Amino acid sequence: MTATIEVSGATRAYGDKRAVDYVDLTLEAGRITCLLGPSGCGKSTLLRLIAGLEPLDEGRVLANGQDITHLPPEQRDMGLVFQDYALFPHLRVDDNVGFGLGSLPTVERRARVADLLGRIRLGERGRAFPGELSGGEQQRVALVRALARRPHTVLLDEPFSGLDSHLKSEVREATLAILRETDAAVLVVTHDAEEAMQMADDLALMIDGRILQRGTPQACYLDPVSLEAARLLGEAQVISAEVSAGVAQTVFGSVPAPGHPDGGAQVMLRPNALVPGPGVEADVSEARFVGQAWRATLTVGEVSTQARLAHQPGSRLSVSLDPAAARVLA
Amino acid sequence: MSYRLTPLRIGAILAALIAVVPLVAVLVTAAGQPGDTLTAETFWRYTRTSVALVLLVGGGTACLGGIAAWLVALHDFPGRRLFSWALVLPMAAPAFVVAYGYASLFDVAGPIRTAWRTAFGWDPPLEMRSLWGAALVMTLAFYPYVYLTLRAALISQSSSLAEAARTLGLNQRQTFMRVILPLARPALAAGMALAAMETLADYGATSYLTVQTLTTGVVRAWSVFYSAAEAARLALPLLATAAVLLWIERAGRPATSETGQARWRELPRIRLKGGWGWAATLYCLILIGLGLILPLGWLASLGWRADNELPRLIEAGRNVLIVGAVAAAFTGGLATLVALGTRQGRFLPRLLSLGYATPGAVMAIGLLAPAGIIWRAFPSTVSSFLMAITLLILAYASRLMAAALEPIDAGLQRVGRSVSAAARTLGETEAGVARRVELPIASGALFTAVLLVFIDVLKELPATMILRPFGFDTLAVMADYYAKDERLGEAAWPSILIVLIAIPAVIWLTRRVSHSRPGDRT
Amino acid sequence: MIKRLSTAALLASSVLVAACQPQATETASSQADCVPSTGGALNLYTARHYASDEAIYAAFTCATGIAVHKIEFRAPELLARLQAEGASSPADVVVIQDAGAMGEAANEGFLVPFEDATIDARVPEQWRDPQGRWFGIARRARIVAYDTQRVRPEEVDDYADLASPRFRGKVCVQTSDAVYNLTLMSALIDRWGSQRALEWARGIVANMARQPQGSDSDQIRAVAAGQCEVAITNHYYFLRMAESDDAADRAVTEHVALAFPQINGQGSHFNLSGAGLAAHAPNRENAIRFLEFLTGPQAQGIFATETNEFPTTTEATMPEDVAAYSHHAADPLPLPAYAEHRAEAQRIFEQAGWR
Repeated sequence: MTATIEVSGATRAYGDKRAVDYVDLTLEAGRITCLLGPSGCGKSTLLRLIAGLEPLDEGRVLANGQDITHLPPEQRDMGLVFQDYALFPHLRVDDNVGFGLGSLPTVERRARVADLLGRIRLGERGRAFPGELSGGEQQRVALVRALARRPHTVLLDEPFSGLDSHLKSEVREATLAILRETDAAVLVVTHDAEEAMQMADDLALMIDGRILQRGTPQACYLDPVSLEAARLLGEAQVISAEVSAGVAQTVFGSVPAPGHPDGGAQVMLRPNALVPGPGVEADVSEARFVGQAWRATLTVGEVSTQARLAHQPGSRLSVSLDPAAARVLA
Repeated sequence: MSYRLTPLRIGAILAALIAVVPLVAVLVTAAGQPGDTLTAETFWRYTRTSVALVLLVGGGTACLGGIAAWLVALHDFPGRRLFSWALVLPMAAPAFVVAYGYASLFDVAGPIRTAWRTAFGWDPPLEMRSLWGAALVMTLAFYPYVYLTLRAALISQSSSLAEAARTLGLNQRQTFMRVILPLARPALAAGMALAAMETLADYGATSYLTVQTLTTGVVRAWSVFYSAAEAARLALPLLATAAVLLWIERAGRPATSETGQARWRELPRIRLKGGWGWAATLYCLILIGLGLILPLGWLASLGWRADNELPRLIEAGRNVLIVGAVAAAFTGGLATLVALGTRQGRFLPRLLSLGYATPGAVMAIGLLAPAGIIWRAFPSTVSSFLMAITLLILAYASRLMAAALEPIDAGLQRVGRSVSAAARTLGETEAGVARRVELPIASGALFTAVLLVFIDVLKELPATMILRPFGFDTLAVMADYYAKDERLGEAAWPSILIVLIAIPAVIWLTRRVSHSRPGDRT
Repeated sequence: MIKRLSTAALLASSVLVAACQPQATETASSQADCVPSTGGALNLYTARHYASDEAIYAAFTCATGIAVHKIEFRAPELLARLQAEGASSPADVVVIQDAGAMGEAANEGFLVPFEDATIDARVPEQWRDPQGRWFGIARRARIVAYDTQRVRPEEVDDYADLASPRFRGKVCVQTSDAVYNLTLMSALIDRWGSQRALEWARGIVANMARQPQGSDSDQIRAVAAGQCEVAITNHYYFLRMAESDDAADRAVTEHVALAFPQINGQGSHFNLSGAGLAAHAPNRENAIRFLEFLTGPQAQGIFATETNEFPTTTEATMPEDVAAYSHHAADPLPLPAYAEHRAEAQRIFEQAGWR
């Protein structure tokens, strides 16, 4: 069964603080939605509200149009992967995976558990206890345990945060592959922008209990609604500009600003917005190697910004502004 | 890693020796020449009674204490916060005091059965001087062990496991049965093991309630045949059982291998509505009422009608306060040495725990032998008051070392290894780290240990009885004499005084426990 | 009521206050009006723990200026401590309220024989150890309390009656853990032989109204409550209840009376509190003065008045309620028999199933 989950006006307050503040969110069957936000923004609380682990103060949760706001968690048909995996330490791996399959006949249950463990290449470890598995293995077990009941919705709470960085991308790929095989609506809560963009079909940006922006990763990255939203997804520089007749003029070049009123404005530049080429001459004051690229500080007149460029500090460089990597902020 | 004898380790070994000597003495005594003894048949009867009593008390404490912990840790109802520590108060009443109260209250000529006979014309089968009665009395006296351990386990359980179960399709009740309870089962077993150990080692309550167990059998063999060897030999199965129970209790400790970054979140409490809430309140009230207020109240009313020897009481109270305080501080110090010096090894602490689980009468035999060596070697010390008090304090230390070791050990485990290592790299010695880092962090645990020993000294009987100097009474000794002389009213005074002195200590202990949460620095 | 309340408050507070100002701990007998003078000291190991004894120590200190230092033990612990201390023992005098345990102390060599004309003159030979190691200082009869409405006294004038079918399901008695039962059984073994003693024990077990339980006072209360018709008890518990301040206790004795059954028609079983000179007594002279004092009219009178025990000397004055029973003859059992039959008594109890 597939489902569309609609959250509308969801609000949850702890004392005076609204952890989730009138949030709308839709999860589509077969699509992965990533909820990205800094720690403490309320994204895990929102996930718990959807799962039914916390009551809503206001708002509703609908599944296929049916109101499930007051349904207890066990009746919601949602799988949840916890940040700490929450594997039952007193049960073996296969009993963990088969935990929610009590209603199935034994034979079928065993077959399904074996199948799931096989898919995460842990077919041999079914009789082990969770404590005997590595972190990556535990994560995979937690994932298939959540999938075992073939829920219409799968919720993942920071599913990779406990893993070493060299493991992350590999486990992420494997997780994505498994999630893609299901038709479930998937919500991944994370604070890692790269992870979010890599996994998401749809992205939702959350800060201070509110969702700032929703859209595809590309749209969110390139067309952020605010500087905060822009910075959630990656490096962003801000320089001032003058808008005139739908064009914002900066010291580095111009950016289209359709619909913006004339006058002062701010322009957000991604690191790749300035490229060597015919344009303005900029002073290069500093350049550092930062892994896959160089980062240089460029100055024109009194305006400085950073760009992903390699050049000798102390020299001058001609750069042009790529309008596709720059946006005028409202 | 090679084992180096640092000053700390030498100190630990010396401290441990004090507690090991009596155990060795028991074994040596048991190997002495055989004499007349109880017949095998009688021995088996005692064994059966002991087993039955342990099973009944184990089951009883699991039910009463378990339900109390379940209510307080997982539910909200009127008075919950008060009950969360008040439910431990019966711990202040020694089992023999509870036994005095119940035996007299439910005597065939006591108030309840007399009133019943007058009203209904037949005698209700409410005999406390029976296996069932003893099981009831000891369940009421020992349920706090189960309550404390189980509640601690429930409180420290992170909610994510229970939540995982909910998202996997289990309702509240199924989640409790399949996840919360199984996870807390080791703690339940540990609490039951403690209660079972206390039951096995008890002499005061069982003998007063005329239930003949292995422990009363040990005393009987001793008092009939005057053979310490026979008594020690009879005690060996008790020691073996105690070792097994200790092992169960140790195994019940929560393993520290948790997945690190988990955000710990308390299990949600269910609000009990209306009648159910008041039923929970009533349950807790009844438990405290039966465990403390009813027996103590009845004893108080008996004491009211009886004379008291005020000067003797005051002196006995003063004695036990002073000696108890000194012994508690001394024992706490020794246990700290052992805990610090054996942080790599687990064997020694376990061996020492055996002393705590050994019936007092047997320990008395073990304590007397080394004392005798000192007396014979230095005859002039025998009548020295100071020497006798010193021996008595050493005896308390060796009997109660394990009681102190437990919390101190746990407190030190909480000092992260990296913290100690950091201090070492900053130029501190092992002993310096202990003094400047580990002990300050574990100071709360140290105080807990000292209080536990103090409470135990208040109730201690056999070692006091056999080793004390001339003219030295304690409250427990006085209570025992009056009770043996069938003057319960007079026995009530020292009994109540014991409880009154113990209550503040118990309250402090339980408040500390109820405020400690995983991750707390205590 | 108010007075009691303030007593309790005073008690609690004074314990705390006293704890804050530790003084040299004196013996508990410091409540004596007389202060010990130059008479030296006396070390007493006693298994008795009665107010009467405190009064006697005080009187002794008054009369002699000798301070009494005492430790109260239970009998097995007293013997174990003497054993552990060996020749270093500070004990001068040993007192135990059971003839069996006293005999055992003598047999273990913890007591030394001593000759003392005063004691020999005061205490009849029957209450003295033939080897002169110890002697009786007070007597307690282990006899029968019966329901006066259902039992006639002549129905219980022999211990054997208690085991007869007449009392099927009507007998209350303590467990065989109770040392006084053990000593009674030792006496019966000596008088009747093992076989008859065993049959008697079986008869008692068959006659028990309930499993053995509780103290002697509890047995008397059970008679009063109608649970049984006869109970085996020491005599003084009954006297104590009869003169109690507690109306409930006095009511118990309204329809209960004491009967003094016979062994072989020669007298009732009297257990002894014994006293002896410790083998390594450092204060031997004081010890002997104390032992003499215990047999003097003052001490004997205190035993009778305060503890309702029967004196072992002939000239002691007794309160009326004790005197009323003092004419009952005692079974003339030689004292060593008690310790001698102890193990056998235990075996018989086990065989008979007397818990």
